[in-house]
Amino acid sequence: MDEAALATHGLTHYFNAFRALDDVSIKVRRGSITGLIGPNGAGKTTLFNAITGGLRPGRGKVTLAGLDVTGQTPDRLFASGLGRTFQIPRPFSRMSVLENLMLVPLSQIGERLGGPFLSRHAMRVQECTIREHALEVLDFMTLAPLADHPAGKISGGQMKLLELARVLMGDPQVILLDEPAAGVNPTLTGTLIEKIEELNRQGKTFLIIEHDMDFVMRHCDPIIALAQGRVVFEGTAAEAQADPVLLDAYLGAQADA
Amino acid sequence: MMKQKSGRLATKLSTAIGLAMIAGTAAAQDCTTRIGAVLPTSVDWGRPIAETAQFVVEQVNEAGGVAGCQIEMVLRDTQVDPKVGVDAAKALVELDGVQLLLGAVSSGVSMPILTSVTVPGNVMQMSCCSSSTAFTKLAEEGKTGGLWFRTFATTGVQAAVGAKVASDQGYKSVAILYKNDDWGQDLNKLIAADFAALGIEVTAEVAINDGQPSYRAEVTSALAGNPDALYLGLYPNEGTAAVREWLSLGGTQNMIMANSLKSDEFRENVGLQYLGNALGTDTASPRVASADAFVALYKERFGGEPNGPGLSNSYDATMIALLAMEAAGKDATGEQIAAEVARVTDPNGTPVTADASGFAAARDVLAEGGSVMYQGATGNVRFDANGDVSAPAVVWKFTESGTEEVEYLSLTQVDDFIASLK
Amino acid sequence: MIGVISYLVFFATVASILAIAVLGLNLQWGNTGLFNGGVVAFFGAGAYGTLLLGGTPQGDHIGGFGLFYPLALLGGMAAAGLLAWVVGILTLRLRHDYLAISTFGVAVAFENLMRNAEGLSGGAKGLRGFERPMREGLGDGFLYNIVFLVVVLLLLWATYRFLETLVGSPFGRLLRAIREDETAARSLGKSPSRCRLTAFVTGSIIMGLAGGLYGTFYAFVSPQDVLPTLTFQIWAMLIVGGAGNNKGAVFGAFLIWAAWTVSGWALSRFAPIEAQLYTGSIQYVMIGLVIVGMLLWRPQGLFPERLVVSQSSRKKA
Repeated sequence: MDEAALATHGLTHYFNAFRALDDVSIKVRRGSITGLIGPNGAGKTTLFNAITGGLRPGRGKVTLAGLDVTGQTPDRLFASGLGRTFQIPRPFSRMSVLENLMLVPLSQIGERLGGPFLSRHAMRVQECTIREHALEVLDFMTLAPLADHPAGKISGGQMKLLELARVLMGDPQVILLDEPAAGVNPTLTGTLIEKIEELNRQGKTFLIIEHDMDFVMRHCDPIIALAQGRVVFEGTAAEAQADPVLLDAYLGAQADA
Repeated sequence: MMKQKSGRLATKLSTAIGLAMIAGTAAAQDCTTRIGAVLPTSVDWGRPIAETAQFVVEQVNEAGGVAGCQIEMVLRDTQVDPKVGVDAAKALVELDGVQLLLGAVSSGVSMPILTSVTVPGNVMQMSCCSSSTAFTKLAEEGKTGGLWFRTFATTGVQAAVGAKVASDQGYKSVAILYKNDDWGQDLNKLIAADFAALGIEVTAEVAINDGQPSYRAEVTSALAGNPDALYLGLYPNEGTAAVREWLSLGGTQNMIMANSLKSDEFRENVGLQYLGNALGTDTASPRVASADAFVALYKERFGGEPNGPGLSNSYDATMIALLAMEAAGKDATGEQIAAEVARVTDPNGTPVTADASGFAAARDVLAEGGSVMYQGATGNVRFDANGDVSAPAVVWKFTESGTEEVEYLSLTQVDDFIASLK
Repeated sequence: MIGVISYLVFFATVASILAIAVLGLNLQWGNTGLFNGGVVAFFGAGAYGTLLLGGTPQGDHIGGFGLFYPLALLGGMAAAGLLAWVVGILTLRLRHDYLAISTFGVAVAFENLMRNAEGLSGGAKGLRGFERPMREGLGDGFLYNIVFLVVVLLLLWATYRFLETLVGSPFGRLLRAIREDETAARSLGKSPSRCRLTAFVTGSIIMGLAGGLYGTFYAFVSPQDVLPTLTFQIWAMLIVGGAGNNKGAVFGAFLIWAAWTVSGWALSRFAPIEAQLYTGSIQYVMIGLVIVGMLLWRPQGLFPERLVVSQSSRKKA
């Protein structure tokens, strides 16, 4: 079996005449925290969307643990073991933090129209299990005190934690994080990194898109860099720091922007 | 212009009611009998129907009221919404305790009132204007309990006379434009059958929906068969629009109109010069002196001819209902009032006119146990066993000032002609 | 006195029937965020379906199958559900504004179809020939209306309980999540289109139930019963009562229908005769003002939505 938990193979995508992705092939090694960097307009978001099902790539394919999942809808991808968070957090803000989590488990008895009426007992038992599990996850993510708060009323950093907690409820093998450190205070960033690393030790694979060079250099290995729709670098943090092409492409473009 | 007119009407009406109320107090009558009216007063053509009914009540009160009591007509708006109409009717019956209900106009409102309020509550219901054949069927099944009457002659008379006009004019083929509602659909079905019975070819039967910006498609399909004449079962609004399109596309000016188009608005908006060959039919009969009297009375009160749809019918409906109430005596139930309708529309009874003096005269005859023949705005109204009226008919055409009668068909002539079609 | 009671029974019957329809809309709009601009089509499908299936045979149109009444009522509900399913399959992938416009179009088309398809619906003169169930035993009067009200109240209660259980269950949680953020819900493995379709069809079946009871109560239905006014009234009831709250939906139905009828009664009783001729218009203006006022000052309605259903500590089981 392939050792890549997630991989793309020759992804190419055009927006009209603009080539957003040009033959992008990346591998996210099982058990790694892979970082994806690149300046604005490098194609990070397009690549992310092509992987998470928001966009059907013009050419190429996406595989998840070796299985072709190209163009699958986001809900099926999640069921196949690929979880994601959003750059700007999208909690269900009018629901409580706990409910945000309890929502997630797949095939809940009570989610079927007849469930609450025909399988009432089974539904209640399942709800209890899900609640216990959700509380455990909240506890792990240091959000337990906020369980009954409306998700819209917690801080931006807590929302990032909540999004990760929510994804964990589906127990995915691969988790994609979209700029997890953006707009979060250092304390919570610290907590977040700590949790990511702990989850990584437990076997979760991460792909992190990050704008913040420092963050990536410190916490990700390996690092993949995109520029103008192409992969311009793939290697360890140390290699990245020593790579003149990467620094030039990345910092140069950043200076331009 | 219309607004101004109705505003003026309303002012006059209120003054009149004020006066009537003072007169009532002066006569020291301390009892009041309520009757209910559920009419679409929020619709432009519904308001004059209500004003006409109120006008009758004023006159009856002037003549001393019914069974010694002043009549108070409690008017409720149906908004042409069956729910609202039925609720209003139920409130009138249960809260105001009326035994007589006037209305409604639309069959779609009158019908649920009949089935769920008046028949279960044993209240007499008299409609000026509901035309659906469904009422006849319901009555034939015995489900109206003899409580249902309407002064709007069934569409059958109108259709038969329309067909007779076509035949008399020598038209060999006719296209039909009809309003797409219960009345129009009935009318179309009936007149198409009548045309067929007379050997006149129907080239097209086209439904016209309200409120369309253009009727070009409809009119074009009616033109396709190149008919000798056009039959119009429409109301003034869509009638004006459809006829304008018809004429502009080169359609014939040979037209036959249902009574619904007997309106100044239609004549003015289409233009009299195009209506030279247009003949209308109506069931109202100006042959009787009391019909002229109605027109005169109406003009005096409202300052215009009674040319809106249903006005003479509303007048007769209210008057006959109140006469029946008078005949039934004080505190009569709806059933008792309904039973007396025959006695006030008896062809062999003493003729009475449709005004205050006629009402007073009828009171005397009825008090002695006699019967009267009501000579009303639509002629000598006579109800059949189903509460339907058969009526004499006229053929009319437009003139500078209003309408003019072309031919008069007595009740027997109408009945004979209808029989000859079968 | 008996008159007042008799009227109140009548009023409560109509209000309860409307409340059932408002509950159906609440599931669609309040809980799921689906803008149904054609409530009247599903209400009408229930009314026509029930009367066609349960009526006596008529010469001029089909139907009159004389089915046992509960079956006829279920048939009417099924007709509404089927219509919703077809509309839903075609439109639910479209987002709110498109759904609103297409459902509004469906309602207009439905009314036109009923007005014109004489062989199916009796055309503009309406659908006759339906006998109210148990009429022979109970007669036509006060007793019948009492019994009918009890039946309607039981169905209203059952609908209310059904929806309360539903929105308090994981299904309700799912609906709220989808309403709030469809993209996020999809990213968590949920299928919004399927859930929306379920909610849309279920809500429409409830509207069909209301329509069936309405047709039964009047033993008659005509195209005039399925005009867009009804959609407006049902919406007004939900907005005033509180979208998302079933209690509010029921309360709103009673309140608005009372306002509608009481204002008509009061205007007829106390307003000068000139104003009486304009009661309809005045009522529309008043109801419109109430809705605008609610939207301005209390957009959540009289009974705001209860947002949090599952608690971290278990409440009573």
